[in-house]
Amino acid sequence: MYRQIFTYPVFVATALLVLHSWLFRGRRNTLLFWGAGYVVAFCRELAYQNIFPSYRFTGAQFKLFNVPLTIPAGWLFEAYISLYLAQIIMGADLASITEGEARMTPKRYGARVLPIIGLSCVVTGTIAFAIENTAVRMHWWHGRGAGDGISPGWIPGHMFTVFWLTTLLLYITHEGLRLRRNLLYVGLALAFTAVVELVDVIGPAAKQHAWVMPLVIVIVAAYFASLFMWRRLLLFFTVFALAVMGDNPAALAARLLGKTEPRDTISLWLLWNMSVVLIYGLYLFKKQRPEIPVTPRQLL
Amino acid sequence: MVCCALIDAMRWTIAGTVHVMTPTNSEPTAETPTVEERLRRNALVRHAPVTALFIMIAVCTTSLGFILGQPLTLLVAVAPLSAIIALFFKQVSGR
Repeated sequence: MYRQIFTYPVFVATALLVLHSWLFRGRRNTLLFWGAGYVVAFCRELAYQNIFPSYRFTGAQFKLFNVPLTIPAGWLFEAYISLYLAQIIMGADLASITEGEARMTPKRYGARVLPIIGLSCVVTGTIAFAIENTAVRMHWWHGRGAGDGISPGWIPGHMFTVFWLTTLLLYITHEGLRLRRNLLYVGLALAFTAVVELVDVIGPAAKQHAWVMPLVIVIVAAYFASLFMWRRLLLFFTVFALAVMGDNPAALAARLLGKTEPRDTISLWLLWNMSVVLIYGLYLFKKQRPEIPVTPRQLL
Repeated sequence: MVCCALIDAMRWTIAGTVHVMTPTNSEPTAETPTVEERLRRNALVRHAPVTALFIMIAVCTTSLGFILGQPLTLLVAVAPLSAIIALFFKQVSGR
């Protein structure tokens, strides 16, 4: 009964985003962003619902192959808002990123594009936090064995998916930002996304498909290393480990004491998880923000 | 420190809202602007992603706070989004 309070305004908001995209990014980029993005997000959900069922949709009516038709649009809702906010906050412009060069180099990509995608993932983390809290309690979807609570692992899970989704969409929509290897990494990463949904999924999935885990780590590490980002690579994995492992002490303690983990309340580890994510965002913001605020002339 | 940060965030949000919502004085031209052009100039459409974020905060607030009676969850879920919006307005207003 209460779902409509959430559903209709979010439909309006999504329509507003498509209109914004149409007006400020042009017809071609809008069709590519929303069309290709929808297909990729749909495939991701298809894998989750039919091959790696780590959560299930309990409140959706219109489904295709067990995937509610609104869910892929939800991923794009997150990705579009996040990318826009990150670009405005950093004051980054397409011209300043490409520096007038026709071809993108890995080094420039690492220095100019990756921080924007990084900050947009932080924004994604905060959106995911609000959406997951609301949706689970509204009984839209439930994680396997997660009850009415959400798991800290879901937040980095959102960030991970939006990271590769945005990387792919920037590649498709902007010729000046194309780095050939990105397509390969996006393909590999999205193919394995279903197994990497962190805390809730890593446990069972690692047992069933243990061979996948080293591959996933190698893909992410090789991607960052190929952009000559050794220091950021270390930082990324530190943040990743701190954020993801946040849930483990609570789970471990509960297992040692022979009790079920209390998932129905907001745990301290969830707050820890968000704090790590936000500190990472602050670092990116402080590191990359221009001294004089700049309004981007062309949206990414 | 947390109170100061919250007050600062509120200050920037209010200042930014006033800045963004104030219509710019464009030079009158003989040509009537097209619908697309008028939409582009509309403050709510120009920053539609922020408008969408506001809508989401509103529905989350309504759902979590009032219907489901989860005030603590509401605070934790909505606070980071508010900080992001404050950061956006700070950048846009240039102050």
